[in-house]
Amino acid sequence: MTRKDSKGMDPTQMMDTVIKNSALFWENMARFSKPSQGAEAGAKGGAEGTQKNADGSPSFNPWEPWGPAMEAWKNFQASCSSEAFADHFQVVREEGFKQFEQMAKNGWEPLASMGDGADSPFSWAQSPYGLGATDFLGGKGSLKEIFKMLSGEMHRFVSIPPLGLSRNYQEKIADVMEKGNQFYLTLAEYMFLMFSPLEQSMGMVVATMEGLTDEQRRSLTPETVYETWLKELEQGYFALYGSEEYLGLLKRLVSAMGDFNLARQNFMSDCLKLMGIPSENDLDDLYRDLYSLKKKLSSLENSMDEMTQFVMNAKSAKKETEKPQAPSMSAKPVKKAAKEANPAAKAAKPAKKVAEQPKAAPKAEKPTKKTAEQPKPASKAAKPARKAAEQPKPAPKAAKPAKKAAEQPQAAVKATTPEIKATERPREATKAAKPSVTAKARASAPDQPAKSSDKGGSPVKGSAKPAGKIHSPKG
Amino acid sequence: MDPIANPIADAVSTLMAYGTESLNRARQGIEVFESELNTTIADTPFEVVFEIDRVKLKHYRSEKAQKAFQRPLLVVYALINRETMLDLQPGRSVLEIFLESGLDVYMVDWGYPTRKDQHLTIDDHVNGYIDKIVDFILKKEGLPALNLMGICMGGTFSVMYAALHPEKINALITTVTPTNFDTCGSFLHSWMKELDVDKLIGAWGNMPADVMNLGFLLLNPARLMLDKYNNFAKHMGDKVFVENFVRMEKWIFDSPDVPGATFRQFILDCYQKNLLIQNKMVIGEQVVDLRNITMPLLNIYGKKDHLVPPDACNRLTHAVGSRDARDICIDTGHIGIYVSSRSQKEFAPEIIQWLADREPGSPLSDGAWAGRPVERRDA
Repeated sequence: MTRKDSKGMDPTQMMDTVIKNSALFWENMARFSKPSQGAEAGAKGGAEGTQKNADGSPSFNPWEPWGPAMEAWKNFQASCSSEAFADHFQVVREEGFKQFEQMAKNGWEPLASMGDGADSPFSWAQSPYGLGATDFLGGKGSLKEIFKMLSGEMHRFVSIPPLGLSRNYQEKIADVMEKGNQFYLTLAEYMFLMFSPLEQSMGMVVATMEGLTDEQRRSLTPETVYETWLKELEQGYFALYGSEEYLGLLKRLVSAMGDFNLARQNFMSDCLKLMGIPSENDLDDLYRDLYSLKKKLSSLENSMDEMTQFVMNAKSAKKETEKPQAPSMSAKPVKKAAKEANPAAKAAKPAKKVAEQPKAAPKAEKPTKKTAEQPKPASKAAKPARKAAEQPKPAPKAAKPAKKAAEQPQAAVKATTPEIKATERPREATKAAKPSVTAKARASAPDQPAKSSDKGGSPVKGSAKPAGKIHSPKG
Repeated sequence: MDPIANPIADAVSTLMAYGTESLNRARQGIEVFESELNTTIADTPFEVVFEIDRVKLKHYRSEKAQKAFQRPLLVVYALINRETMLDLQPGRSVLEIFLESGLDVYMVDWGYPTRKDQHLTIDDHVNGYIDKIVDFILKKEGLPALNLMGICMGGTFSVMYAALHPEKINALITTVTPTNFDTCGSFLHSWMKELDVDKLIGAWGNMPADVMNLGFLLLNPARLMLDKYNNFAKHMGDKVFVENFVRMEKWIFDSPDVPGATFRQFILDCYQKNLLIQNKMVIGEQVVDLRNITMPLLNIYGKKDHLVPPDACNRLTHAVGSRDARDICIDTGHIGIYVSSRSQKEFAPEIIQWLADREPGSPLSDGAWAGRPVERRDA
């Protein structure tokens, strides 16, 4: 099956002509390189008008061999400038002008027809004259048509398989052109759709006006007309937004926009690479690395904090157990004790978190794993304890700990008084303290959150940054 | 005898009158534009007390000698637009009312994310920034828990935070906060369901603010792109109107980009899969279980909200574990809830009263600040 272009010319024929002419050209060039042969050929050619030497032999004319070569070149040019090649560009050029001409006509016609004295005073706003907006965007001779034509014609060029050293770059350029065309075509379709309520509402208003009597029409103010039109327009958009057609087109538009942007970015990236400038893609890779490094660092810092806190607490607990116990110390108020129980309550979560992310803190794996296993009894008991203290009526939908608190009030009460426990049974208290602190020191105690926050962010001190940032333009 | 009716003369005289009026307005408008306009927003003095990356924590101190509240209020704004909306101008400022009541306010300023921030996820915002900020405030104030108020997307983040760290939150207030995304009440929801978010984020890294703004305007182009400016033209001779209008414009188009990974997760997990309300959303390997929200909850939303319709908000109070959960529906829109003069009398006073009622020993717990909510429904 042979493929034919728009003028019905077979591309294989065209190629034959090119090859034939090319062969002729090089043959003549070869003659030119051997003057005698060239001369012979000239003589054989039966050129009567050729000059002869005194002895009758044909004289050598250095320009003579160029004759056939030039002839071949002319033939070659003729084949190149035939419809087969020029046609495509011509179509684009001619059609493009036609389309623009039509668009300009669409734009100006309604304006020109305004004073034509049509039957209705609003005829200038009516279809087929209309505002021309939708015609401009979607009708015959519209932007949409142009992009459609462009993408059709351009596609034939960009679909030629790129070859050679710059193959990759050609492909990317073709991709940008293709995606760009696709995006603009979809955009034109979208704009056409977006302008249609404008035209419809205008038509609706005109119809309403025409239905009025002269008396009613005289009583109309521009504000009333505007309000009527605006309501119609609003309703038109709402109806459009609810349609499947709009949703589908929106999806296609976003997709085309994304594709075009990505293709453009890739192409730009190549250009910048050639110039030795880092591209957005390179920076994105760096940002990704930076992000993961920051996360790892923060995780390591947390693990370090936990370990330090663990050691500190273990030391202080040891000191406390070594101290002689005074009877008055055990009589701490329950409220305060409940506050101190919180650290244990909070400990469970972070411990789990750390245990779930062992890769981030490989060094901290041992202690955290331990703590993840150990703190359960203390934390579970402590969490409901606080809730029980604050909300005596447990919610029916409340989380598990809340239910547990309701079911095991004794355990909760026990947990709210860890200090008492500590004095009575120092060993148990130390055990409970250990995991709770190691699990997540940063969030554990209400009086110690600063450590973590200091690490992650920077509290601004009065005289430093914030001083300049106090925002009182009036003052 | 009546003069002979002449419709052409009538039409011409109407047009001339209209033209004269428009010209007069234009003249007055030019005078106003040439005068000195006060269009500053966010006038209330504050102090930046904490910074992490691009995120800042602003502290607004109440000048009241007698503090009515023991606990401060932390306000978490959305990543879309800026928190300055709560403090547009004197007399139209939610912050001003809070401070007047003796409530200290901390507010998160998310800053302007750049391409560098495109990999930040919801987890980084909730368990990272918000958690660090909460820890900082708790340490600074020497408190075990604070009051948290979330606005729009910031409200969704606050809900997630309260579910993951309930021990640090004393009371939670959510305003125009979407938690149920399976609704047809807004075009935004149906559009988001169709959005190929990977294409967008793949192409831009972050979600560009201009694209979002265009999307918001397209929700109602007749009102937001035409009528609004027609109205401005009508009133451009009024200096106060022009100043307020410009302030609003300043706020609306002062939009930061949204970090790509956060936007992606928000669209996929919330808008497209609606995981949050089903207790299936996962943040940083932790499942967000709304039943963990056992602290008191006040959920306020707008009846005419075209971005976050009532359907998107009112399921929260039923999904949480708290017994003290209340919905308040105010007859206004998404922005009007904060800036309209009527809302100033309802919205902020209602919050203050609700907080005061949950603050033991507060001098305001006698109902001094009770507003008049249009509709309320106890959970």
